[in-house]
Amino acid sequence: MQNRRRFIQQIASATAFASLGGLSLASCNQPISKKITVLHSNDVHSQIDPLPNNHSRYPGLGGFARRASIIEQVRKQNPNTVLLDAGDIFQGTPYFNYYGGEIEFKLMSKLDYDLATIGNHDFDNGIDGFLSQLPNATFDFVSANYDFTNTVLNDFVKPYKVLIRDGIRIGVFGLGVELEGLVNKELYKETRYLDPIEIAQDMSRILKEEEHCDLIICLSHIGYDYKRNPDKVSDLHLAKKTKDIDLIIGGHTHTLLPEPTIVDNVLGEKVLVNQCGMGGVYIGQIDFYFDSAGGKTFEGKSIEV
Amino acid sequence: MNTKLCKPILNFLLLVSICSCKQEPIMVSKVSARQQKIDSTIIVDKKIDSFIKPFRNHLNKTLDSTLCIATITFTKNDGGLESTLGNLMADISLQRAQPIFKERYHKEIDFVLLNHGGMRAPILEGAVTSRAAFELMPFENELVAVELSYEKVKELISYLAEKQRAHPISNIQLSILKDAKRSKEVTINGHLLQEEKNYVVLTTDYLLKGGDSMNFFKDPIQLYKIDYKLRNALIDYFKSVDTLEVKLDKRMHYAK
Repeated sequence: MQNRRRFIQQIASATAFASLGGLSLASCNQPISKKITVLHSNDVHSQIDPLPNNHSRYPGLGGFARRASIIEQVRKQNPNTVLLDAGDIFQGTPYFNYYGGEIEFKLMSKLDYDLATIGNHDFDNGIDGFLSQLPNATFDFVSANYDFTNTVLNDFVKPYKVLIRDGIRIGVFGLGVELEGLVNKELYKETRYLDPIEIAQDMSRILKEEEHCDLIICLSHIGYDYKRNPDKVSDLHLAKKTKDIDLIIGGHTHTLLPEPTIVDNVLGEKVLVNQCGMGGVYIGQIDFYFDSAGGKTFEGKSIEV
Repeated sequence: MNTKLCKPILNFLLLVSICSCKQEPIMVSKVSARQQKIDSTIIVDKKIDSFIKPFRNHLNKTLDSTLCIATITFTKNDGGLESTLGNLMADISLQRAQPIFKERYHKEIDFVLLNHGGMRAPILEGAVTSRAAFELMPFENELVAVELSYEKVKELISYLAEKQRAHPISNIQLSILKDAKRSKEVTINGHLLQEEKNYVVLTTDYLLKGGDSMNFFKDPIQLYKIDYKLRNALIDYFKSVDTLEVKLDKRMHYAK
């Protein structure tokens, strides 16, 4: 049951896929092949409309109304899609200053987001400001390393959630960045920051062993990598030091990756780390194809990026 | 249509097949990924856009309505060691924060120091709007007052004399020796610097935490919260006047 899958970089994955289907058909009388699509955004920073045409990095990109079309299109192709956000939903345009996050949450609800995690800027109106906007969100927030025990958010933010699509159990947990020195204490109050790696190790064990998840995703706002401070905990460290995580969706550093980074985890298995810049200028899409393991000939997965 | 009808049956079949394959759990066999650029080639979702529209219109109306008139264009590089924009921003900060500070703490702010890099856009001649305040000050920096010892104020002055940058100041006058990189004369509120006296300096929470290496702000004798964002101070000031007028007055200059 717990035999770990090994990644194989397979260029000719299509043929491998097909022969596998054949194998499982023979052994089970019914081929199982399923596809889960993960769509993700990060650091949208209240960018409701496209960025201005004189923007230095991403002129004219982004915008909720365009993102909505893409999401709808992807969902049409594959109804088994989850839509996630890696935090810093708030702050960056006057929409936030004037409406306090109402538009952001309402739009994300209309786009039918499933889950988001909390970024440092989501505390910009204090945890009370965040709580007051929660009624506008139909999606949930997950954060495993912010301990909200002594705060108003205690009952509203869970460490993880299991989403089920086409029978596939998708475990998603959240991680947040250290708040001290980044956010005023008056804003985050008694929120306690816990070590992301230790928490991620706990989370992946719970999601794997207790929740029997088929896919484990970390929604992270700890940052992709810190070149000037290479020891600072980041998504790359997290990927290396944990196991059983399939995908880390990152935020905070506004990193625009041309394709997901593939990192070897503590067991030598491949983990995908992805991030999509800021302001909703790109949307990340990762498709996971599932197969019944079919026994000996196949115990891995190939990655096409 | 058809797929909708078939789905429950399909799901049932899959369920059956999972059960019969208990020894062979389902696993990831392949992963593919792509980043999709969100540009003008993508069709706008009309429903979403019409939801945003009233907010956008209201916001634009609010942001673009005239609050006052600028008689000149204020920039941050037009006066050597001072600037029209810096003088304006520092003077506004003092003018808006002083009454709050007096009311709360029953004393007075002595002078102001902000940072040159914090001014992100000029104020153009003509109509001044809230949008201009957002562009000048996009960050959420709060005004804070700190009580500094005589020694720390000397450090602050040495910093200004060394950097020779037009950091916005108000109610302090410095004459700087260019080559020696030190101050020749400093007056605060018209008086020479006094030993044994503490000074209350108005700045932002960003600089308080060591932004722009203004380390003299760290660990002050006393920190006084004003709970007033710099941008809001600007907007409130713009609303309170008809015209913006600020002169270069040699508040920081090279000694002759």
